[in-house]
Amino acid sequence: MQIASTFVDNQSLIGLQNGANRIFVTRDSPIPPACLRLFRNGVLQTQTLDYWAVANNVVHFNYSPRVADFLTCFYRYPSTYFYQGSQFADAEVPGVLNNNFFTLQLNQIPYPVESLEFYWNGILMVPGQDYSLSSNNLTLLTARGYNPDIDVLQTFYRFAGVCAGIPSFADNEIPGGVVDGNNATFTLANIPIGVITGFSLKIYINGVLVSSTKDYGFTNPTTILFNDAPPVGSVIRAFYRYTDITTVAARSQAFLKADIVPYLQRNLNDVSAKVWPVSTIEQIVNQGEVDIANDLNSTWIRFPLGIRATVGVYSLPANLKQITRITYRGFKLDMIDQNQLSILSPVYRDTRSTPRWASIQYDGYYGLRLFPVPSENLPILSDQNSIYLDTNLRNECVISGYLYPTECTKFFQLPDYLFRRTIRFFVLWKCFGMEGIGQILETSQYYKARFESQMMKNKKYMTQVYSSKEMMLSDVPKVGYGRKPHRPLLPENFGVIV
Amino acid sequence: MLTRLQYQTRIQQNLSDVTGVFFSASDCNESMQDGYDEVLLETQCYESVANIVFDANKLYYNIYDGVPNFWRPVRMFSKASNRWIRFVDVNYLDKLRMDWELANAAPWWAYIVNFQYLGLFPHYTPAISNSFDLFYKVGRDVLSSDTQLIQIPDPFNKVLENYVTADLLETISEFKKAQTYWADYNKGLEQLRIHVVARMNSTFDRQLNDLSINQ
Repeated sequence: MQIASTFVDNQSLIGLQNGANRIFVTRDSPIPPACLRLFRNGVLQTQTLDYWAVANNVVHFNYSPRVADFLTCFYRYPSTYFYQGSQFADAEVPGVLNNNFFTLQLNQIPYPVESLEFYWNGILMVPGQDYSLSSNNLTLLTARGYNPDIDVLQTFYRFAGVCAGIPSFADNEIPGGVVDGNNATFTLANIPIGVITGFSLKIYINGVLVSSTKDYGFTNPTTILFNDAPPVGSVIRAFYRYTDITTVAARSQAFLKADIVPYLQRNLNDVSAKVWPVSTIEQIVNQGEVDIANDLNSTWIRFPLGIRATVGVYSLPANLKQITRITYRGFKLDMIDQNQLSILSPVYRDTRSTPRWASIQYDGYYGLRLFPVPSENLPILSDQNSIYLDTNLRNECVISGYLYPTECTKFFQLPDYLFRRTIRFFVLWKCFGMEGIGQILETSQYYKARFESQMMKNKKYMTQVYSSKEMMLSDVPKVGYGRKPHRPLLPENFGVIV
Repeated sequence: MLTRLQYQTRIQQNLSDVTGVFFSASDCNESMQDGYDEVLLETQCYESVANIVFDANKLYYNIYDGVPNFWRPVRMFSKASNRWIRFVDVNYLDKLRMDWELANAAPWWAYIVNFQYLGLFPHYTPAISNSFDLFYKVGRDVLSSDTQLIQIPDPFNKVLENYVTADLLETISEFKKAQTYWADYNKGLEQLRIHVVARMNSTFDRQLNDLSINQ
């Protein structure tokens, strides 16, 4: 089931680590409990074998952690969605920077920094002790550098941005299959996400992460084939993200991007992908979708904003394009600019009360300033379902607005009545214009014109959605009769005393 | 009205490909779906009505996901209060009450948020076992079988036929041949558009004549 979540990353356990104490506490309660991943010295601990979850946030180790043991945990709990750091980078092998095998580089900047899971030959490395992170550069603090022939590095992290589709999570799943030392085939309950954003599956054998490139492959989307059968008694656990099939039925998610590729190949007369590889078409589809969705303002959302007392500036999601409405405890906040704000109060940074105005962009591109500065805490209460109800409205700050489209979703973010034709013209335009044996510039220009014409039509269709709206007095155009009274025409020589 | 299969036969004859050698049935069907989508949007010739239950506490209804072929609303009628609900702008609601999202009562106004969502003001807080009728224009009628009737009136069958023929000719880079069909398509589309509006207006005129108002 899709659940909006807050992630807790690389958090140390609370408790006395004296070699005798076995009971520790996590700061929040992992929900669902199975999502807790607890590491001791970089090795994943197995529930019931290594520890018991006694209560919501209390763990009881079977063996007391030693003083020098490094304990860390990752988990999540339902709360918000749509915050920076919602895009996932999976199973990424960091690149070597400047031939220095102690300095590695990630494709993105992890956000938050704690979300980075850096595995060296399957063992989770300790930040500050094994490596340090600056921006997207990872410096190894170990005695030896990275040897690509021997070492298997994997990183998993989140980075800034908003994922349009909220995935479901499989936690602590025991893959189906007999662990008898001979069997190498195991099955998963769902298909791990990995078509576009990377490979989300993490499989641990006896607490050590195995590699999708070196240790196993897939015979079908849910069946894993290990290169070597796991030994008898091995404990295998899988964690991954997947798309809940029940949610695909929703109309806005009914069209998988992968499904449109054969259709486009037929239109390109390249069914066997000899001229344009599937990856090229997928890339163009993604680009096209972003261009079209951006032009049509197709993604509207509501999301809660957590308010903290005395904090006036809040960071908005990186891909929030435009705010259409903000409510604070159900009351609308008026958007004003910095000049108006300074006129309202020269001490706007210190005035504390219930916010009535908001100003965007002057405190950084993603900064939202509330005025007066809130004098109370308003935690996030709604999830992606209840945000459309009034249940929490009186005790929450809610923002509505349009999103910049992203490429990370597997589904189209466009209305189904226009996306296929439009995407098709875009892809044909781009494919025929690309360098290579398929290049036909005249044809490319033809489809460019078709695409532009289609976009004009699309804008009309999207505007017509509002055509049933009744005109009010406020809708009267600002120019024309009736808006301003005519200037009086005075008689000739009016006021002249003879 | 013709079925998908009847259209397919006509199109194959236009392309001199009765046995489907150059263009398979699936090529033809995909193109037909694209063309049908466009004709529905351009001419607004297909209207329908959906019955939607009032949910407790719900402010914003996801109509797009809830009604499979919904494109845009035309009218709304609340069965609970036996009254029409008017579509207005959010600015109008803000002027009425800056906290209109908190108001609880029988809905009087609806706010079209975007192609997907519809907001109600006021809205019901306790669950009521009643519903509203949403009259809407269809934007996408999924063609899933050969026997399915395509909702285009008979005199205008050529419109879709021309679209698909031109579209398929384009896929084999026969742009000049396609142009003839595109020209016919555009002409037919315009006629159908006028027909849909005129058909509605004629009724209106007659009603006014009956009342001796339209003198």
